[in-house]
Amino acid sequence: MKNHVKSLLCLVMLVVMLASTAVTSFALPMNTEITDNYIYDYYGASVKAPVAYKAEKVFSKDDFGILNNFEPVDLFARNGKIYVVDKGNSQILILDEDYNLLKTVKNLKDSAEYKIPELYQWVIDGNGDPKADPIVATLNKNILNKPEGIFVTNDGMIYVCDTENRRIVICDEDGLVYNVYQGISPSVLDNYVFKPLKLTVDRTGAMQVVAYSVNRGLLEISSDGEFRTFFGAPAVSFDATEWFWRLIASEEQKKTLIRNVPTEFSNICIDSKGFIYSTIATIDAEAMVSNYVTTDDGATGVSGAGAPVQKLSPSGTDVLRRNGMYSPIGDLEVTMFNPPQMVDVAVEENSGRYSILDAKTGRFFTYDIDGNLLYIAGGASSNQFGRIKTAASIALFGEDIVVSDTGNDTITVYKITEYARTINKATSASANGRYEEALVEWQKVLDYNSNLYIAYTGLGKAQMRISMAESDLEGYEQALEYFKYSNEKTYYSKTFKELRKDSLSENFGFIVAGIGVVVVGIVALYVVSKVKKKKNGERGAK
Amino acid sequence: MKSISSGLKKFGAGTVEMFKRLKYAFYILAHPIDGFFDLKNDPKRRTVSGSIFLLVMLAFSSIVKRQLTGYLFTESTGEQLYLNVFMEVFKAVAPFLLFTIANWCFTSLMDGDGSLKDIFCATAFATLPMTICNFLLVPISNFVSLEEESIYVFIVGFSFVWCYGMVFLGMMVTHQYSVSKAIATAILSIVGILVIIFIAVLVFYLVSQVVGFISSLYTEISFRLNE
Repeated sequence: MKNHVKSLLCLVMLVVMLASTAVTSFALPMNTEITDNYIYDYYGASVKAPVAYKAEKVFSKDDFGILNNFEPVDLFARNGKIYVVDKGNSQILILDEDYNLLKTVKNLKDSAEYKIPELYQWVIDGNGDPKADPIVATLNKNILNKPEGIFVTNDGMIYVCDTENRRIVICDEDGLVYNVYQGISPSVLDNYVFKPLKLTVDRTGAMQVVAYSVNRGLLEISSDGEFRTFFGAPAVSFDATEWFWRLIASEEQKKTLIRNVPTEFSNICIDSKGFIYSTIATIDAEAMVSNYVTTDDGATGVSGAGAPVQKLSPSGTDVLRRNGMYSPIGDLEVTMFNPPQMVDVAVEENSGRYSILDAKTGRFFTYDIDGNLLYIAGGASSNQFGRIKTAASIALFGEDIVVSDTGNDTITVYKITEYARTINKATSASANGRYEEALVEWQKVLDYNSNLYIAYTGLGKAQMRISMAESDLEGYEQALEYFKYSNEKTYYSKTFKELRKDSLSENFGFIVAGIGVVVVGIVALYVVSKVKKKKNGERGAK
Repeated sequence: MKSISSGLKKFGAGTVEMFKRLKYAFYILAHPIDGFFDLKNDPKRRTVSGSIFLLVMLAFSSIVKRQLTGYLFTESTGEQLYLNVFMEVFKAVAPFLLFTIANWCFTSLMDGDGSLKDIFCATAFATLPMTICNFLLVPISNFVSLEEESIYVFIVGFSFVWCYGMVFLGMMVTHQYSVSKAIATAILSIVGILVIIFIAVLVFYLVSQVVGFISSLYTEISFRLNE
């Protein structure tokens, strides 16, 4: 009897297990699955949205045959390869398109034309005298030492921020070194040790470097290793109360006051036109809330202190477009006490689309070139699959988005869904002036998510451009309707002006004729009344 | 039957007379001081029914403006979908009625010459600029882009200045005040409006308290009776 019960129980369990697998295989398709995904509407309220990116694979140290200490602090994607900076093991991992480990760069070798120089050991103290730093003597120049950042040029040259060795190393995938930049000292700083963290390289070979304990912006270093200038320091907000306290405080009190200094960049990346996108993790929360968090309607188009993401022009000014309904700051429910912590940014070259990664929530937010929020993905929750504990770096790799996590020491690959792919197609069609295509793609986006207001803006803009080319009045009316749906008054006004101009010129003859008739009518009435008056006057005189 | 037809005739004649007298409102627009003086002192000019008609037109114009203003000048999307006629009428007319009462309260103590009827007529005739501008703003808002917004804003501002200026002049002339005294009375009238609003809110609150008390008493007793 007991055996029967047992076997029955086994059977039931089997059926349940089978059923559960059947359920998973009958799951909803990727793009219509409803989870906690959301987007903001034009009032800035969060509303449900389809899943834009779905975690597909999580790589940990075992996948790369690493024993321990795996710490992926930075990612860089170029030429169909993704480069992972493993700070824990002081090495660079090079992965191919399918995330198979191709090569590891750890040991550095002299190349045919360049010999690795000894490590730079001098530190300028307060008196202006160089002193040898004893730590440097213990370090090995032929290996990397806790690197933090990486940049790879189109011809495959790897620029590594070899942070604890206080140098920037240029090598190839085999570890052959072609150049080393070290001992860079911006003359204004005392006791300064050059420890590069992140870098980009522009077309001229000049480097823009985020360095440890430098808060005057990026260090620009020319290709022959000269420090040129500080570059793109984030603006500091003026605080009236602090200024007042500084006026009346004594010298001792002033020392205890917090210095109002610009914050350091957390990461940078460069696009092909030479614009540098930068993020700030330790943000001036008060300035951010007052400059970038909008209340009810309309975005603040200002670029002042407290921007979590900037786009620096070659002259160092912030030229990021903030034309959306709200500024690109990540989640909108931020307060002074709960600011975002943007750690990295990645740019898509063709359409100017960029994604910023918030370490506090583990989410990444993708914006188009005008600063409209397109979709949100990721999410923080300690150890779950597809969630991020401590986000460190983001890279766009083909259509995937790759996020590294220094909390779980993993790399998560997010695969694009059809929904996000359609949005991407639509934005790049809009950005590149293919308006007919944009119309079709935005319409498809609306099939997925009819509440996405930017789709209506996109439709309206495309329709407006097409109508402008043909001066098609009905097209204008259609565009006006789209802009009404997305509450886009600026473009509504522009389209309205075009419509008015074109319809006026089309009906110019009628308008002139109408005015003529009215004028003639008034004159006629005037004359008639005069004649009548005269007659009456004559009658009265009789 | 006869009385009905004669009543209708009287009403018709009265309406025609009212509209004839209302033509005078346009004269006041151009000549406020002379106009308001005659409005008060010439019994052929004054018309209470005409004044009521003007206030009705003001309410009507503000509803028209709210509903037909172009999209670019509406405050939020979809606001035109939710129209509360009573609220709109109240918002348009209440300030002028409140002013009439508050002004009458003070001027009867400050030897003003005008009766309540005079003040009412003068105030109502002074609203004409706002009615005209409201009607004017509807086509303009539908024909102006955001870059020419200043036209719209100017007309809005102009309508307010003109209307309140007319109210001020009307009051000054009706009561035969000097300018300084008129300013003082105007300020007092505004204070009076605030006092009236305060008392109205207070009364509303008290009444709701009393009603609440009686209704809870009723439920209490009905529960006890059912036990």
